[in-house]
Amino acid sequence: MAMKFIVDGTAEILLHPSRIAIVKCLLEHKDGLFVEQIASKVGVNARMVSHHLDVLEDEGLVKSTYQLTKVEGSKRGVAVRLCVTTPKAGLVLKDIKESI
Amino acid sequence: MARLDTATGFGRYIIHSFKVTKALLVALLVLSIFPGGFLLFMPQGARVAFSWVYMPVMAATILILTPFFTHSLESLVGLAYYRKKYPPAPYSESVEVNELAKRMGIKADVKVFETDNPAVKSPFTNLFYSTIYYPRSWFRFKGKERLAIFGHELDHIKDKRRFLLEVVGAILGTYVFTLLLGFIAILIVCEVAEFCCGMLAISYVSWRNERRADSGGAAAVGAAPLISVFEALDNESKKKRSDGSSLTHPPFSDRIRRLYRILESEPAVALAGGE
Repeated sequence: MAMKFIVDGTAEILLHPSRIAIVKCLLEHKDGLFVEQIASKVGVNARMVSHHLDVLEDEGLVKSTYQLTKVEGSKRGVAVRLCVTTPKAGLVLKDIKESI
Repeated sequence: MARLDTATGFGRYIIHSFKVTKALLVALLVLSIFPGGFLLFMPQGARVAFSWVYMPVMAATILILTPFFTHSLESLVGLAYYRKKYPPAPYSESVEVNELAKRMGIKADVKVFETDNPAVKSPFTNLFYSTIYYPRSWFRFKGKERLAIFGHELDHIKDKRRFLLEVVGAILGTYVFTLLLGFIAILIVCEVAEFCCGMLAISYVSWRNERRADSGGAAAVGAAPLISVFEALDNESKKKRSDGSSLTHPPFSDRIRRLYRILESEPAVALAGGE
């Protein structure tokens, strides 16, 4: 059904200014980004990014995994939340663009 | 969180910010006290000059306050009129809200209702009966965000602060200026001063209550969900050329800024790469 995500309210969740910026940023980085990286790219507080990612993950627009990554200045790995968008995010964005 | 939508009628041509109204009320109050309070002792020329300044300020204040009062009336009538057609139903997830109320130390049994009543444009609280009305149109906020909204409303119930609002409004609006200016001022100037002072006092106490409710809600649920809700509402109100401020509520930008301060002081993040 066309505009399916507008009707079921998913688009409304994505229409938050920060969330749409986060999703667009993640769509540009297919390998995924972790919270601090998203925060610096989007210019939103890291804790707010974390909250928005929770909302987006609940809605099935973003998938996140926890993993260890090497960071400069740290001998041991640092635990990060790596986030990638799901195919649903692209479809919702498409719906929004069409409706505009 | 109750807010009056002032973006309809001729009010839509004005940028909706209570800051302008506040400035006009302050100007009118100051003018009413001095030189307005001494109107009877002025020479004729000064009295005419005063009225040339006073009347336009009063006209502007009346003009800017008209949408507010008409919408207040519209909301009150709407609430009563649509009550039968859209009766409030008990909120389906009230267990979660009651748990939050307990966590916030509220002893009263809080009743939560959801409603389709078009006059209920945002959640509001009846402090005297410890009830919260939540419009179904706000179901767009889910999970933690919705809980944060309830946290804000519950904080209103917590200390029944609205009582103070009514007391301050009644005392300042009724007695103070009658005593101070009543002997020397003419009736209109005295009444205008009383009205302005009452409005400003109500606005001051109400804005403070809202800020406290934001802090209380943020302490119970976390600042991030509430910031997210306000950012979404701010975005919506910008489309209506409003900053979200009203007689009873501070602008969203101010509330978001204060909540960010709380967010920064919350316990450290669990993981280096984010929570």
